[in-house]
Amino acid sequence: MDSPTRYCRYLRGKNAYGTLEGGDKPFLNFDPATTTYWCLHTMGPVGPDSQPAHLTTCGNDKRKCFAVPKEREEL
Amino acid sequence: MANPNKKKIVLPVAPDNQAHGPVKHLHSKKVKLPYGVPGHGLTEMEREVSIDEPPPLPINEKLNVVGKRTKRADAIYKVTGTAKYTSDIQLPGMLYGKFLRSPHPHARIKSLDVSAARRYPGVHAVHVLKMEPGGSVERDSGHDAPAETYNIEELPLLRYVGQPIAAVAAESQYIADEAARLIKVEYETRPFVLELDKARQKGAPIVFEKVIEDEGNEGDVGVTAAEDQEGNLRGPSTGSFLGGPRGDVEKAFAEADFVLEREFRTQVQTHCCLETHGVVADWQPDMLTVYASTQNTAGVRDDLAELFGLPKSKVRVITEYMGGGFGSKFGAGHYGVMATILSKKAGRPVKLMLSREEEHISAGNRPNSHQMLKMGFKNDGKITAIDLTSYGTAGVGLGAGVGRIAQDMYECPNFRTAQYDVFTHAGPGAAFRAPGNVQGVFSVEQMIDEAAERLGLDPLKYRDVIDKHEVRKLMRLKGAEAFGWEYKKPGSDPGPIKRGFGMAQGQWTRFINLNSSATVRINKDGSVAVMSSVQDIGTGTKTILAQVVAEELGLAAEDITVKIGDTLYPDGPGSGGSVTAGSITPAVRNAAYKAKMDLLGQVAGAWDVEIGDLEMKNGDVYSRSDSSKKMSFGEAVKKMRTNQIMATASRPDDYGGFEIGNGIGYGRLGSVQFAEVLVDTETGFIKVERVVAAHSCGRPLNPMQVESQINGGVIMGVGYALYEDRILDLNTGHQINANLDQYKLPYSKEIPKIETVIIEHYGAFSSTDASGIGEPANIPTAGAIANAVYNAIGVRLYELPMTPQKVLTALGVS
Repeated sequence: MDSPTRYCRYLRGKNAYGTLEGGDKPFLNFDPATTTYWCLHTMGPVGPDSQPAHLTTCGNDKRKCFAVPKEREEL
Repeated sequence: MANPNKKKIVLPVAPDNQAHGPVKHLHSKKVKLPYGVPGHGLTEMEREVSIDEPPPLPINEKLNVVGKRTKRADAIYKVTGTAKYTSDIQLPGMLYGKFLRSPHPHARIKSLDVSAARRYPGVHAVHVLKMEPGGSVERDSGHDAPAETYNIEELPLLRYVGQPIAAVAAESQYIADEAARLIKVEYETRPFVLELDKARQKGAPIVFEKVIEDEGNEGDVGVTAAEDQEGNLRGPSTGSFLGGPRGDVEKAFAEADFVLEREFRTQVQTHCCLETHGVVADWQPDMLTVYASTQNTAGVRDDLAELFGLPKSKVRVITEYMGGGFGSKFGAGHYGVMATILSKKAGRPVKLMLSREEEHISAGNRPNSHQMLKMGFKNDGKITAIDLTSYGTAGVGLGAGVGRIAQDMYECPNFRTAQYDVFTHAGPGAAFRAPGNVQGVFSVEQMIDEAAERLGLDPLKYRDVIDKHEVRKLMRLKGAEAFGWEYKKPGSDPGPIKRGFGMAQGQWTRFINLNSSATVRINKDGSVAVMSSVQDIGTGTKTILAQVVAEELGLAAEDITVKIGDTLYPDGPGSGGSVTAGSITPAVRNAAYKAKMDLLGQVAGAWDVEIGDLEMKNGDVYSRSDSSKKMSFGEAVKKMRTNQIMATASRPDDYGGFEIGNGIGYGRLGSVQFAEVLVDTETGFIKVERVVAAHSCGRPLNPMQVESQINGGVIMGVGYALYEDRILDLNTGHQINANLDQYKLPYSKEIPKIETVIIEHYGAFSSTDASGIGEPANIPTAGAIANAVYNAIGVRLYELPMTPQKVLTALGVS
């Protein structure tokens, strides 16, 4: 079984490649230094727990706002 | 300060599930496609492609519609004012929204009372943002509900002036504005920091207390993104998809014949789309319809479907006309989500368009940068080592890196970079036309000029020595001819007003979005339509789609109806990263080809000939072998057995596969620009007189629109070089030039004469072989102007924007 995507389903990003979605899509993080991130819930660069939305923190299911990706939820 | 030594190295590898190399097909064919530049050794490239691919298009001069200067399909609607932009949308019963935003750069909300706003006549909905999972989702219903009591712990900590707190929807914009003012808030203000350098200092007010341990998750293309955070400093990022550090930088510096080391600074540039960010949201029981000023209709739909728990089929996003977007109009946006919530609450459509001030303070910006660039050179000109450290602030956001120019534009065996984000109490950054690369060119291209001077070489000729990009070499040649380039000794003009000539070049990756699909429909009445959710953000996408379909069907561009910008149609790509033309036009051509084959099959049956014997050209369908068999397109479609033929196609992989992942194509898009400036050494004013911009975008589908894109990129570059600068009041955190008067964009008198040189370059990548031009057009401009200013006055400016004050300071007369 392929390992499920680890990122919160509400994480979003944008870089030169385009929009990046957490959850059920590959997160094509081509260039972290110029990628902006936001949380769908706050529609800002912080999560509901008032901490930054970012690839390195929004895959952390210890974060209280972490939402399980759809494909993982179905497992 | 974070310790860069403990960072993981960015891996230049792609995971196993990503495509590499030539694509294999179950049923394939070998085709020969144009390869190279006409007039400069054009040849052919053999590719193995799917059997379903249309035959290769010849070069533009052999085509009838594609590659020709074609007027915009929607020009008449735009110039007559009949085009409906999102800001023009009026729906029955529509309400108007207005945000209450933070007036403080750092504060805790002590109390909040919306009762007066809720009672204000004409107000239909009020919503307060709460910081909890689901906090943006409706919690009360209707404006008659009793005023909510808010637990201040669930209200957001405010971290920048302009941060949304709440919003209202009312029967007029005036009522909404007034009601938003009636929301009573008590704030407990906190210390804040706005400046990049101060935010890095020990003891600076902290924007984010670090409570989350980073896990160093890898992106799906294998880029390790582990970063550290200490105080307001986060990072560094040490590489990109192009790889991480390479070689032995210190050894190379030690062995270099000379080393240059300089500091460069660039400013915060805010998004100034003429149509501000905004939506009209209409929540109905069976469908959420959103009219959005967006660069990505499908992305807005996906965001809203995810957030509101709706199937994507129940969310429709429409962008028929769009008034400009440069990277910040992706996703639903805080305005889109809020408008949807308010519409759901009120049971009526809600329009929420940002004001110009809101645009500046909350809609995103290009982060500033402080770059420490060190480069080693040999006396033969070779670059031996590059070391780039940068700090930049995207306010409360991230992504302030300075791109891939230092890493990738010139050959250099020893490279390293450390790019840090610095949090400040300011509005969040957003993607902005060639994120990072514009900042990167300003530093690298000035240093290349310095090296050329040190070597006693014409900077143009020096680049011929160190730059291996063949198409860019041709751009330098053609651009120099058009410009009349002749190297002039810096600062050599007599008199106070000095003329200078400079050039710079840029680079952009060929990104392809495979989520690019289109449908072509041929109707029995002879009409033809192409449909996709891809949006035209003002670049002319509608026109090139019409051209591609017309070319395939042997019709004229005006014969094709283009229906795009609607998620009811097949998904198109977002328009950012210069992906649109290269992603959607092959899908459109392939759909047109499939529809054509269907039609020709029916005609062939009627004539009892082979399909391969039939041709569609100049509005006719005819047999190549029997001249008696010929009829107009209008007659041919009458032979259809059904009322319509419809074919859908999606963007296949690049012919020959991708360099990295499913979307990073082989080959870089180069650009070269030349600038002529006048500098008044008594007043410090710089006037850009002329720019020659040499570019390539693969096959230019419509040279007139390519020129238009280049013009826009150059004008934006002039603004970045000389004028645009977000100024924050250091006492209050407010932007003091949040308008289009004091935040200066180039107006007609500041726009130089722009001459474009388009290199028609074929790479044999797809059925149209087109690439984008949006980013490349903007990347080198500020660097070229900076080099021209140095050439004029003999003193180099290392900081943007190059204001009169900075010129005088550099000259030592201020």
